Amino acid sequence: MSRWLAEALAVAAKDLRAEFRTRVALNSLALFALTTLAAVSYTIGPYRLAEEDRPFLLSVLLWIVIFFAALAGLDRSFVKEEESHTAPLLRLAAAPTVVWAGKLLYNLVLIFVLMAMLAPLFCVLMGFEIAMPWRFVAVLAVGGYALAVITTIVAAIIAQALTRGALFSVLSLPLLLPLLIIVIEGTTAVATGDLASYTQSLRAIVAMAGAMTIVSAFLFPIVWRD
Amino acid sequence: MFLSSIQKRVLNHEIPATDNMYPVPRGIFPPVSGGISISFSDVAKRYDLRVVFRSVSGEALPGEALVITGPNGSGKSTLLAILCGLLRPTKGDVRYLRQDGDDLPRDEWGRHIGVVAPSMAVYEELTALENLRFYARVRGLSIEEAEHRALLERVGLDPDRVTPVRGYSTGMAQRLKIAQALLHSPSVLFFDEASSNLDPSGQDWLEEQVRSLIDEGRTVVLATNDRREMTWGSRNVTLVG
Amino acid sequence: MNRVGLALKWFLFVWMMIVIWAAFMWIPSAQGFKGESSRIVFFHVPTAWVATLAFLVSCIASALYLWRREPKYDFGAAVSNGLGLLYAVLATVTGAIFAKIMWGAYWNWDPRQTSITILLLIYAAYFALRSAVADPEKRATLSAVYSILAFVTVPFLMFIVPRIYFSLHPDVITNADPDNSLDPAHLKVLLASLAGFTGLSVWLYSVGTRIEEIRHRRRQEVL
Repeated sequence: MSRWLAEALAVAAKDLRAEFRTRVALNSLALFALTTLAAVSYTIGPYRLAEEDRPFLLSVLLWIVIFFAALAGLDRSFVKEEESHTAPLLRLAAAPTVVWAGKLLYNLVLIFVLMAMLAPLFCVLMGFEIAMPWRFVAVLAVGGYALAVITTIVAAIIAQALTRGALFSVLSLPLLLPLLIIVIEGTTAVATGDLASYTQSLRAIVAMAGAMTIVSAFLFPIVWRD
Repeated sequence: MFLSSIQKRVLNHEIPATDNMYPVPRGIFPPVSGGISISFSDVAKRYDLRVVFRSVSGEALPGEALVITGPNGSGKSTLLAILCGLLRPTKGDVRYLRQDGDDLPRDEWGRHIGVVAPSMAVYEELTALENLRFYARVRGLSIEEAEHRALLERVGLDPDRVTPVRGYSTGMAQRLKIAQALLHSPSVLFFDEASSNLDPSGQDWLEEQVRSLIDEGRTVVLATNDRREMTWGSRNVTLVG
Repeated sequence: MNRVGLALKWFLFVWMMIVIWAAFMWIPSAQGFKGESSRIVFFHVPTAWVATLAFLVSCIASALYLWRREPKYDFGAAVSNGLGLLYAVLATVTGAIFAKIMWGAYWNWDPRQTSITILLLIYAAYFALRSAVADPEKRATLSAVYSILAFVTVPFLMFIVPRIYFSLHPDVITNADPDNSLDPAHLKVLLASLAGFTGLSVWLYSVGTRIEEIRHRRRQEVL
């Protein structure tokens, strides 16, 4: 078991090291997020929205930025392997679940770094007041995890196709929409301080994350090794 | 997999200094298992309406080299990929057999294979040493730093070089690919146009390497159109294309 | 073409003719619906039902393909998805027309409309994926995997989304009390229509898979 983990960490470490040297995915994510945030902040700002609409609308805006930033950068983990032709040697060297776990870990790091940068900035620029800040972090964490799990398996699928860029968004969106609906609900709840709604949403996100993790772990070897 | 004491001794052995940049080759690691033979029958590959090849059969035995030849575009690299287990044939069978006659399941083939091919690259953003470290770790092998460095020296690369592989010449990159293929002491080796990008003395060195791999009882498969490489093999499969 | 198949086809034709006649001529307009708009129910509900059924069939076929690797399961999945797409579009359009007549707006994102939209997106994504992969086996494998992924997210849609949003949708199916929704005559025609549309889709499915089988055989001959 620990050997499997060590191998998965090797994959994640390799991806992070390579990413750190070229910074392509990080740039895509950050650039997209910051540009969108700037646009939203400039046009809407902290004053334009009516008080009662703020929790919901600001949740929507935050998650839309996160989701679309993710769609801009999270496919890179697999697409780059195929485009640089490094995938075949990886297929021979590593067990499929090791590759899946390693890439998932890499995507998780990217998403969490993005959120850590974006969420505070968003709250400050948009005047987003959160009644339950720690629970807000929980929603971000679990929602971000679910987002990473789904985008990882979809990235693995599209990496083997011909027209990769648009296809990643097209395939991810139907699978992400239910998640989006629920995380928005959860974030609205933490902003207004509605504990019951928060608990219900968190449960749903955890269930979705759990289901997608198990299904991805099963299906990934089929996608990767054919 | 772990290196035996014999292997460790071989690696720590001092190479006598010579003027020749490329050390006289000798066996690097003894093969791990008792030898694996590959047999393939009636293998065909089709992509939608394009047929790559129709029916190819042959076998590669331990201690021998199988040479796959054919005109450009005849599917040598495709056949190689199928024999590695990276591609599924449209029809036909590929089997890996141990010495005791047992079939090796397809998910285990990768452990016993080393491949050098133009379509399979190593990581450009990493250095040579980082590449080897990664491939060792991801295979679950604990190989010491000194062994990696020795392997790099054997293939004629400087282990202390800090530039990423992106800055390497094609010949140097080819040598790293060969190092990566030998890293885990595989019983089966695939060489797809391996002499390409190597200068003449590098080609001599490669020939010595391949011959010693054969002598050690490993199974070698060469896909090539190079007349010289073709002489290294004892069996032949020709693709019509 | 065998005798039984031919007889069944003609039977289906006659059945559907009767259903259409009944929906427009025999049944009087229902209470509580504006104008003649209640008649659309006889077509809207079955198409929505078939769209969901087709999705289920396609997921089962996908799972079978991944297990058995026989091309016929891939054909089943692809044809079923195609039918599902067609019926989902029909359901969406008929639903939107009904919504316009009853509540003045074509679209208001109530849970059913949201769910059918996501189903449509899944179908569209499935075909986008299929068209982007050249190798037939790879294409079959990847689209089968995607089908199953989509299938896993559907329960979350069905059970979670309705609780979050208020629905304008008349609770004809979920409401078990028949007195509340349709009178016996309406129910009869609805069930007949349901059966007819199911029969129609079964027939289309068998034609579609037969075509794929022939195409596949032709390709194998090239080898």
